Amino acid sequence: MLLNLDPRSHIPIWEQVVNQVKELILKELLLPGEKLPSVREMSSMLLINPNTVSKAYQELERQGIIETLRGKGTFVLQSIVPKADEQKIEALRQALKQLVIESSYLGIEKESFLKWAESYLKELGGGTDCAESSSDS
Amino acid sequence: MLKVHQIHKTIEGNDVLQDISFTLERGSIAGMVGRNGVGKSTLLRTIVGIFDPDSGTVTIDDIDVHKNPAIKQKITYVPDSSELLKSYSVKDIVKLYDAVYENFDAGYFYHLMNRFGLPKKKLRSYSKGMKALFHMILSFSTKSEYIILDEPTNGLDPIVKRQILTFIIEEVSERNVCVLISTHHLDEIEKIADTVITLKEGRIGSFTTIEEAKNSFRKVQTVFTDGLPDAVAALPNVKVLNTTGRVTTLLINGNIKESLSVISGFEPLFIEELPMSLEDIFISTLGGEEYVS
Repeated sequence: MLLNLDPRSHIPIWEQVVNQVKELILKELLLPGEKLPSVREMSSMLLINPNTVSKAYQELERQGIIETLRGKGTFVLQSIVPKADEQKIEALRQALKQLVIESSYLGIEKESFLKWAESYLKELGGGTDCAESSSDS
Repeated sequence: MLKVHQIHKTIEGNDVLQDISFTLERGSIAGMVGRNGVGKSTLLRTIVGIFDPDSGTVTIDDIDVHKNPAIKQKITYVPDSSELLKSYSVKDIVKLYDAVYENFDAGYFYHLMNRFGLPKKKLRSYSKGMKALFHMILSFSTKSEYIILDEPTNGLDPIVKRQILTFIIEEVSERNVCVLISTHHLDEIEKIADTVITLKEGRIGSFTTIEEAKNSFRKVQTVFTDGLPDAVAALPNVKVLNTTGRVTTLLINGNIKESLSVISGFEPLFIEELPMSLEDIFISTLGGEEYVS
C-alpha cells in the first residue's frame, strides 16, 4: 500500500494517513474486511514514526472505518456506517463554499463545476452510503 | 523514563551547557538539532555518563546515572565517529559487548549481521556505510532501553540511510525502546521523530512535537503595491526570510490567524501559503550569526 505523504504540508502526517486510507477504501483499492499493514510494517514502509501510524489507526477506528482485532491485526470494517459529525459537516460546507468562490473568480462555468463534482462522486462512490457503493459497483 | 534535570556543564571556563531539562519516554523517538558547536555532543556524553555535569542530574527510572553506574546497562551510546573499535574483529567486539551488557543478545546480533549482509571481518575493512550499520546493530543488540545516537546517518548513501532509519523504526515499534538522535538531517527527523529538541547556545531552545512546531509556524509569500509595509516587518512574530523584487517571503511564528489578518489588512496584491519544512524553522529560530562557533 503506497501512501503519498508530504512532510512539508501543514496537515499533520497522521491526518494525511487517515485521509489517504479513507480514499483508498472509497476507491476500493482496500476492500471491506481486508487487512491493513501492522503499525510496524506501515511505519517502516513509510519511514514515519510508529506513534504517528498508531494515532492515524486510532482515529480511523474512532470514525468507524477500521477495527483492530486483538492478536489478529487491523481490518477495514465490513460495513462502514456513515457517522454524522455536525462540526465536520459544517467545515466541509465552508470548504465547498470557498471552492465555489475560487472557481467563480477563475471563470469556471457552473456546468463544469457540477460536472467535476459529479465525476468525483462517481469515481469515489461518495454521495451514497459507503457500504452501498461498494456493493453496487 | 529518562530525565535530564537542570544540567550545567563548564569546560575550560566556557559554559557549554546551561540549565538543560527534558524528559524522554520509552517507545518514542526524539530528535536533537542545533548548530555545530552548540553543545549537542557534550550533552549526549553527559547523558550517558562519560562527562559528569557540574550540577544537575540525569536519571533513568529515577536512578541517577552518575551515582549508580550500574544503571548504564539501560543506555547505549553510539558516538559520531567510531574509530575506537577499528582494529578489532567482529568476534572480539561481540565478546567485549557481551561482557559489558548483561542482556546482550549475540544470537540477535548475528541474525542482524546476516540480514544486512555484513562480513565477519575486521572493522578496518568496512566501508563507512557498513560501519554505521554495524554500530547500529551492535547498539540495539545490547537490548538497552535507551539508545543515544550522535549523527547516525552522517555521510551515508541514501540506501544505507534508509536501512538505518527503517531499522530504528522497527526497534521502536517492536521493543518499545527510546531513541535520541542528534542530527543535521532535518528531513529525516521531520518524519520519524515524536519530539524535537533544539539547542541554542548551550540551552534548550524548544522542546516540542513536530506537529506543534508546524502548527506554530507559517510561511507565506506576499506582494504589496509599495513594498512590504513597515508595520508588517515590525511585527515581533514575523520574520522576513527573503525579498526578491516586490515578492517578500515571511515566516510567522505563533499567533498565525491574527498576524495573517494584520497582513491582509494592508491589502497585499497577492498572498500565498508556502510549504514549509523543519529546515525553515531551524534556520529562522537557530540561525543567528552566519559563522560557526
